[in-house]
Amino acid sequence: MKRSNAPIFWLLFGAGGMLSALLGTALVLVTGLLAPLGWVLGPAWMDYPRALAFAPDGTLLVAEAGRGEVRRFAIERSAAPAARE
Amino acid sequence: MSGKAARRPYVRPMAGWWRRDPFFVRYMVREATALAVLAYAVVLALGVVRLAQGETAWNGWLQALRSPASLLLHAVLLVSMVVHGHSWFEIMPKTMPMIFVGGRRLAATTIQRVGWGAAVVVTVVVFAAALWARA
Repeated sequence: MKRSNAPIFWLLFGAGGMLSALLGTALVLVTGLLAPLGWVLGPAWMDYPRALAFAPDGTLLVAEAGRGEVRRFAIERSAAPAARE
Repeated sequence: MSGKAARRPYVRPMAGWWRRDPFFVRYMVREATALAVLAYAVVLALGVVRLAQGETAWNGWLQALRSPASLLLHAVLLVSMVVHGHSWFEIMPKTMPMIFVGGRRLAATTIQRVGWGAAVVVTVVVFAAALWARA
């Protein structure tokens, strides 16, 4: 008997519908309205340095899996080279 | 007698079928929220692409998000997401297999309330995470 591929597509449909039902409202509110308007979250919530990594103080975290270490880079708006810790 | 003219069965016109009944209208609104999810997914995916292209590209994307058209779009998307989240759990008792607890079928209202409650909790958690990372 030929197997139906319907379950795969129903699974994708259900997972996407469930995720957007749970997360969609908050995500649209945060990324589409509050952050661009600078309301509640502050004016720089999606600024480039913060968008690259998600440390709350804006610190850029770079994981070097091969060397087993995590480096912290302080964020400066100037073009000065980043400090290393 | 010409064969064609003799047999002309009545075919009910389907144009505008979903406007005939409020139930169908609600069904179509529910289905249409999928387009909002698609639009938002495209916006986010573009953002990831722009982020990978560097700071200038990312700032351009941010600037586009601040435009009145984008804010209006996201206001519409927000309403659509609320409608989707509400209707998704509203019809869940019909879309999921029956659940039996202690030999009795789990009530539809229980399933709906658990779903809506979960959506509210997740929304609060996402919002709290965004606040925690406040600039």
